[in-house]
Amino acid sequence: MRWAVVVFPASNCDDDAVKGITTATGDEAVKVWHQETNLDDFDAIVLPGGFSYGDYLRSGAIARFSPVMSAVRTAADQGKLILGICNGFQVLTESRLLPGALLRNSHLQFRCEMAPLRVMNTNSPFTRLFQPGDEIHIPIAHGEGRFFADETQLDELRRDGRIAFEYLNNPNGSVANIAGIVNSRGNVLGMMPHPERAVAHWMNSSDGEKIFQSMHQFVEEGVVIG
Amino acid sequence: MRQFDVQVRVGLKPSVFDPQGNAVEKSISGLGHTGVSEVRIGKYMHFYLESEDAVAAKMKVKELCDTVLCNPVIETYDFQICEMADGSPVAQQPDLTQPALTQFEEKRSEAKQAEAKQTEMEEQK
Repeated sequence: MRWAVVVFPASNCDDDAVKGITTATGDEAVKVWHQETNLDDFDAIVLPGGFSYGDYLRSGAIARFSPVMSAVRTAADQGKLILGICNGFQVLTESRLLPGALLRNSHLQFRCEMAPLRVMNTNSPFTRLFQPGDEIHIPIAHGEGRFFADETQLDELRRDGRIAFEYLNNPNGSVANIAGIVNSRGNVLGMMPHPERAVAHWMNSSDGEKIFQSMHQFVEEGVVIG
Repeated sequence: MRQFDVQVRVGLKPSVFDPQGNAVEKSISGLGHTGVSEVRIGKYMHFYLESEDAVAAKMKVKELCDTVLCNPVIETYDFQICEMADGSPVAQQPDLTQPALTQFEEKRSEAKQAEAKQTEMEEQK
């Protein structure tokens, strides 16, 4: 399968994402500049971490209007897999491809540390290789990762099993300890932790590999999300 | 086309915790000031807009707020539109503190004068 890693001005985890994907899956991963308008050649699209457009106005608010985002929306509508990591998650919420928003951490600190997480849903294309309730370790690095959703949205996320990961030690004040969620169709995942930074023993965790491998397996099996 | 001066204020919804406002409030009370509460930090934006008339200008600003300037999931906004005279950029960023400060200064000088008068009267006695 072929992966696209979108590069916005001031994305800074794009190379790490490419490396993480190729390490975990052996697949080809290509960096795609944000001016691209066609992503037909790709089976999965990753929006990497960073500070797109300097986080001006709001994190992800300007990247949302990049030409590539209409192609990302088309790909999402086609049922292709979209993974937003950190700033990529912020871009996805700003684009309304995922509900909620990401706000300044409640303690105002930038947190860069290993985060223990609970895998909440193993039915998604992104988490199918985990066991329900698995405790995994994936690092975070953000100042604006406090997930917020109103009660109605939260009820919906809980009811439909769309919370993918929860923090065991909430590092930013996220509502309901949410670290990652999927859309209603199940083919778009946004998460604040960086799976591409947990793909080797020397990184102190290789738990991130399973996310890329889950996606790989899902696509190779040719499952169509309807 | 007519030229309008637009000021937009964006703030977090009351239901959303504002850690910046909270930190500023704590530092204010740390300095010994009392009676300051519910500090919220927001954003102020200022721009010029060309439009056919005031109604169209208002519609356009609302559209910009709803799509770009404000995220309705977490924020609310309000705005002011003033038509600019003869198309020249007369509008400067208003000093929002000025009227309140002037009033405060006036009241303080009135109080000082009254105090001086009282002292004078007491001295005369």
